[in-house]
Amino acid sequence: MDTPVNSPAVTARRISTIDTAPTDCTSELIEEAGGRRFLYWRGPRRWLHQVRSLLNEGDLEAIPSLVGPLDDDQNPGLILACAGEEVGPFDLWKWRNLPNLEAVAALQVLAATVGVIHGAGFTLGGLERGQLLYCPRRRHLLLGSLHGLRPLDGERETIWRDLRLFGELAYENFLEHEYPGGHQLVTLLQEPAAMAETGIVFPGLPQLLAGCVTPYGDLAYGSTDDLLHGLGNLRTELTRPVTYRVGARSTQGNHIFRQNNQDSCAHVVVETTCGSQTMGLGFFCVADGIGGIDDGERASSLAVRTACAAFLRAWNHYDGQTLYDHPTEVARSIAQVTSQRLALDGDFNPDQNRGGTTFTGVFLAGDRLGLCHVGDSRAFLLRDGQLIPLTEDHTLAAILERLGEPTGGKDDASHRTIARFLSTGSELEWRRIDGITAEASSRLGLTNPSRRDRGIDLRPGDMVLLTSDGAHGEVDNDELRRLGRRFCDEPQGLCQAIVDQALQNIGRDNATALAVLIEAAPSSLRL
Amino acid sequence: MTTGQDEASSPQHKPPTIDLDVLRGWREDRDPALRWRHQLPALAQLIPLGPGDENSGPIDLHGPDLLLGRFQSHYAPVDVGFRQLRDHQLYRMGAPHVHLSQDEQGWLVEVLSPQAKTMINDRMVSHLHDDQRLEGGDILTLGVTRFEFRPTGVPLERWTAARGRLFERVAEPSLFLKRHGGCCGPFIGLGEGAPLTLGRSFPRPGTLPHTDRWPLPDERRWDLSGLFDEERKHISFRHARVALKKGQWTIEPLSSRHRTFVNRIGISGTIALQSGDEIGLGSVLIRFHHPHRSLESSRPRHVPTVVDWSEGRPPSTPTPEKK
Repeated sequence: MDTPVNSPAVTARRISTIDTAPTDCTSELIEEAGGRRFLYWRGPRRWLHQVRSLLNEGDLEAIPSLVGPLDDDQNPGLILACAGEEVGPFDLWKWRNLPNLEAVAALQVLAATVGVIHGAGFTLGGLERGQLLYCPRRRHLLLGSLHGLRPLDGERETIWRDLRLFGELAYENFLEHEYPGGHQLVTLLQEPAAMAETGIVFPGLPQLLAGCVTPYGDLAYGSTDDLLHGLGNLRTELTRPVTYRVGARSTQGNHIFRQNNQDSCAHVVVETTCGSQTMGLGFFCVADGIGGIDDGERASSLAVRTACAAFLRAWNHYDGQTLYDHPTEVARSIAQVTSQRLALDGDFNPDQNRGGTTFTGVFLAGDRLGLCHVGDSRAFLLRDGQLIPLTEDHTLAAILERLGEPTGGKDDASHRTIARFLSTGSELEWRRIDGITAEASSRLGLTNPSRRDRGIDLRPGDMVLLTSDGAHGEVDNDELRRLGRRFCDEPQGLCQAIVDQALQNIGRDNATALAVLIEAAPSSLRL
Repeated sequence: MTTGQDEASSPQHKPPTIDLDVLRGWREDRDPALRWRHQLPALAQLIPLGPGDENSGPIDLHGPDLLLGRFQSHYAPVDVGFRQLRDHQLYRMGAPHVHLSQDEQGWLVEVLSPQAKTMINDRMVSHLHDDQRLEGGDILTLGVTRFEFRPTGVPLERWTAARGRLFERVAEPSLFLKRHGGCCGPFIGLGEGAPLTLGRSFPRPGTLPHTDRWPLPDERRWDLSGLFDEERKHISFRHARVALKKGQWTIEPLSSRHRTFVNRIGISGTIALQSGDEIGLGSVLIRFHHPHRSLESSRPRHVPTVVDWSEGRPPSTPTPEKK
């Protein structure tokens, strides 16, 4: 049944009543027959009017959404739907055992909502833990009642009374025991030895507690912005930076007609802590030279060196957040600049250099992946034992397939004829430098095109794999998936295995594989 | 700030964040005027009809005499290179594909590429046919891409007058950039005779590793870096030099990688220019205009001879369907 309770007092079961003393308001958590939970708020008309005007303010993530008013003249009220079915009263035991990072995230959501309430000109009249609900599915703290809602006065202390609970909750989550009360905490915070003994040692936590413990003094939080800043710092300390473990192998191969290795691969990893921002950045690329024997090698090697230099220039010039927000644009820009460098070389050293190269590069910023791709090298994501191709080959076969024409068998020349590459003859247009394919994007749930530009969010345990056609030409996707499972935490082992397999088959081409494992930095915290 | 993303100039794309100059380590001088709106009225439009072409807007034809198709440096520059098409569409496009011209009665199509399919209203047209009439609303198929042909109704006199006003802006011999069949606005005066190099920005020697022996940028140059990606990709960094020699304007190709054309014929050495001649740098066309000489060159523009490479073996395109 889709319609909410019309007369909740009759058809729904009461789960709990929220303490709203000393006001005339009531708030009840109720459950209808289908299991859906609602809040049922009643109170004076003036108060209900204020609540309704506040709920129209917009982004109140920590308040259940208004389903409708009850037009009962005798007994006016509001019904709010709790999205998570499991929403229940705040549970201290669960709260103390919640991972720190999730607890801080829940406090951030709640603080943002309090900030919107203050911004709308209201105060909660002192936030109490009794009015909180907990949603275990979304891991959110919710406001179960607004019984103290009234217009803000100009007092700094009024604001602080809505914020002090955040210190208490952070204390109980991090130290897993009862909050000692404001007076004692003030004393504790003035004595480093006592702080250490109590265990208030986590960076960012003492500052947050000091902001919440008393309305007096310079450290006291005077606005939700101050509080959000403190919570943000705490979160930064908690966020585990991911690190990259890289493996790579490239070989000339054992085919008697291959006289050199025209493949190049390279990577640069920069681990930085700049101010409050700790982030790993990396660029990883594989290039397979095309053209005469020396020309191909020269082009692929120039390409990877230029690309890595361009990556370092980007790192030098842009702040981490900009790079994090535009990973695919960064990667494609690197390819564009690389393409121009090859064209310059072709123009000014025409005799030595008539080759070209494929180029597939992955840019990592923290846990974000951006991609650039030209040619028939490939990039894959190995996730949960699955092999997800991130690129489409730019070959004649792919064009013929698009035209609906026969491509011949797997060994047909059209599979080896490259339709797009970085050339020393002319540079490639921006639009012909690919990012992540539409297919991979939809498989990874990046349906919105603008989301696709923002790249893929990686998880610890993900492995990114780059291969040249000498590798994936000899080792098919099923085999790659199998090897990926076997070497799921050994990037170097995976690359060795792929190249060994190609050598085993006396592959016709140079073979290169580069793998990056995304790892969470080790931590002793309860995260 | 320069960026390679020409999509950025269209309204649906937000401006790029990453400055390519930062990643290059040197600055490219991209003149935004080279991408401005065409100064001459469009005489007709080709509207792509294929699935997947919805977002590529109409192709404006800004002149009465155009070669359409893929640019292939072995052959000749084209007026309309279909830069927005995708790989498989370009693969089935002739280089050049058709010659479109306007006479008193209307528009004519001449097929130039026997290997590539050309259809008018889904009826196959071959190079062996006489020139075909093209009416408004006709469907022109080039390779695997379908276009609706739509004349704009602008009379040729108005177009000629607009071009005349453009030429009146200069009092000295000048070069005018052409795009889609007509001079589109940007021009450069040739001055008193100091040679002018046509090309693109490049770093000074030593800016990048192993570039100590690269040339220095020329004193006087027309930097064409600001062109659209698909245009500038076939232009060398030092492509050609225009100079006054013994009272005669000449052009000298400088690049061994990209060809220079005059009136669509590739040149290999210095040749003299006449007013109205059309210089081709890769696929980019530039008109040489001398204000005191006749408007049109006495040397007609060369339309490539049709060569049927399929002779002796079956053509790769399907035979005309019978109705």
